[in-house]
Amino acid sequence: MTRPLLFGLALLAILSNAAAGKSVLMLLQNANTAERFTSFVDGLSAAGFTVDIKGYKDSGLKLREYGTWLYDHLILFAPKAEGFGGSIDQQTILDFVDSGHNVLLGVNSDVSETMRSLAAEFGVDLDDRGTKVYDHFQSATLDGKEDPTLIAASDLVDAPVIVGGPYKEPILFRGVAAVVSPDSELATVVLSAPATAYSHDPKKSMLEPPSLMAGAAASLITAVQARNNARMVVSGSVEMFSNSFLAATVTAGGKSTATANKDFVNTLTRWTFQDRGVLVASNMRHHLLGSEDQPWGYRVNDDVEFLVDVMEVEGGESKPYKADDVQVEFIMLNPYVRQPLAHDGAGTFSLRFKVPDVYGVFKYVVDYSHRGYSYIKLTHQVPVRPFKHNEYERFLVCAYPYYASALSMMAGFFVLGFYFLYTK
Amino acid sequence: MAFLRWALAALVVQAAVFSVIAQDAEQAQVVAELSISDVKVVIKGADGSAISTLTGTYPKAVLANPQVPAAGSLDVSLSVKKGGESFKPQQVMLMLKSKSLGLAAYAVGKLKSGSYSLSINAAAVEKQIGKAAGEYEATLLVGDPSTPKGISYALGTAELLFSGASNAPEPAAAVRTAKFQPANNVKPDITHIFRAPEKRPPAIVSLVFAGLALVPLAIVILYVPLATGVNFKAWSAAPLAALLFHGGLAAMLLLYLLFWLKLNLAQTLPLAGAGGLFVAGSGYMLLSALSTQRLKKD
Repeated sequence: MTRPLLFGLALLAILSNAAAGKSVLMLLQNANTAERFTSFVDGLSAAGFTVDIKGYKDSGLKLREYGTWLYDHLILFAPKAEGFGGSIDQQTILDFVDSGHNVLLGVNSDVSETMRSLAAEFGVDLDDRGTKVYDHFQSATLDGKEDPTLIAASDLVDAPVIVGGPYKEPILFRGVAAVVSPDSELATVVLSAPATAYSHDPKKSMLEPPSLMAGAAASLITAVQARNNARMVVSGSVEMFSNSFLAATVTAGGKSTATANKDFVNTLTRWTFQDRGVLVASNMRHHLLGSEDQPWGYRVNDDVEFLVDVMEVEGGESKPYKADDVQVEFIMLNPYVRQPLAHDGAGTFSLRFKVPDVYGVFKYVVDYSHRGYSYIKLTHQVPVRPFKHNEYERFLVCAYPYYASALSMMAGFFVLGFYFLYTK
Repeated sequence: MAFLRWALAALVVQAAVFSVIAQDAEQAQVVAELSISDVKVVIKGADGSAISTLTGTYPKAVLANPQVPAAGSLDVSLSVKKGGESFKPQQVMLMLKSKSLGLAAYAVGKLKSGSYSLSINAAAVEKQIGKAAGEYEATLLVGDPSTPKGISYALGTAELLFSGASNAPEPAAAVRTAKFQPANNVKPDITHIFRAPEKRPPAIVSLVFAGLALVPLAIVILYVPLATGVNFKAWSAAPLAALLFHGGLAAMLLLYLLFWLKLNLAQTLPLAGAGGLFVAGSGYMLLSALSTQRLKKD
């Protein structure tokens, strides 16, 4: 009787451990409105996440307790929040991201200054409070009501790992736009506004471009991947995740279609929470051609092979990563060699090359950053020595006169010995 | 009496129903359409004077790819009406879409005495999307939240000239959009160029000089004995010592050859020391035998 009970308890413990790494804290404007997002949360639960829904002002709110983080990911759907309840504040959220955890931030036109400054810390410049994205040419009609702020957008970034498969239906959006700095190395525009759209506050006068966010430069959803691979996604529309938008039938461009919101937000959120597009690089090794062990260093002009294994993790499963743009550099102050690595389909990337004829201390550097995938940064130092005295080329044809003169000297000495001793 | 009351009630109900229907019909007619008129497109030169003026009627295109000089501008003026009365729509914009980059730059209209005027020039386009010389498609966008449909008037194409080095192969990015952003951080390939080996003389030169180096040896072996008169009769004086001595000398020379080909100094020096002692000893024996032979002759 007790044995099946104990077995059941053990199974429960194992299952709860398996869910570790997938706990999400979701903060809403008002915890009573949680039923607006049930479809979205169900999609996350189906992907293995446990979502804890609370209001942003709850007094017992805790992200961190005694130095350990209580949750792995954070969803902030409280656009009007000026401060948080409990022990959470902007610095706590930034520490959360600095320790490698991920944040999904959703705002709307009533975005507060707290949320705008949090997005600015992430690297995304949201437009002011009160602005909305208007489009008089590509807006959608929902339930018979014309709404120029309801955008039917389909300008997605070409990165299936972030956004998912090609969508035939548009993605419904209603909210604020953002801009990404053109020299940003970490931010990616995921969904751009249509070319005829613009972001405007009807109570104020219209700005001049480029301060006016207009057209494709207005980013509706922005993704940022920090240098420690933590991901932050800022979406200008919280409604995009709500049940009404996920199940809506809209009229856009004259035809009535469903929306692609359900699959899109599910894939986007799974990417944000590092369930997709995570690369793990391991087993970096190198050897001289013709031997398998890793040498202490090289000699100039050696033929060597460099190998590294890269696996892509999706939904907890590793599969070999396949890409043609992973580069390795052989650097001593400046790169002497920079070549792409070839992969063999099983996740091993390799390159064969000849060590330069300059000696010194070099290092292998793999610095890979592809949109939607985590960064790979590996370095390994390798000394390169010059030729030893007995490794040069010998018996050159142009030295034959010298060999001939030395040998003739020796032969002549031998012969002269006879002449010297045996004269008449 | 009851009949009259019912008739009155029916009349009142009918009136109410008809008034509601009339109200609905009125509301259905309230949504008027936007219309634009007096569209004038002016291309201005560097000093502000008009190079060409065109009048457009919606929806026919007016621009046939004229060139807009670098310091000049493309000006559009129009008036907007809704339902016959002049109207101030929320969006009056000019969109210039670059054919080479696919990016669009915008200009916002300003209301001046009842008509809107928009002006865009190369500097404004450069601030928004960077220097992208070439053809641009100009479109006039007029829209307002109160009307369902906006007016998009395709004016045609114009060519914008940029000052300075605008013919760079890749203009510096000034904007990020979903379709116009870097996909990865791939840098150009670098292959190390190895130092070319030094030039060597042609083989025939080396062989000829090697032959020349051997000519004195030929002279020593062939000519000198004839000229000086060497006789080998003295060999018989001490044949064993002579054999050992000349053999030892040959062995030392062979050791030098082996050292050049294979051995190192640590292996050679002991052998050379032993060989040297042997040659010295056998040489002493030979010389003493030869000198006793010469003394005997005298």
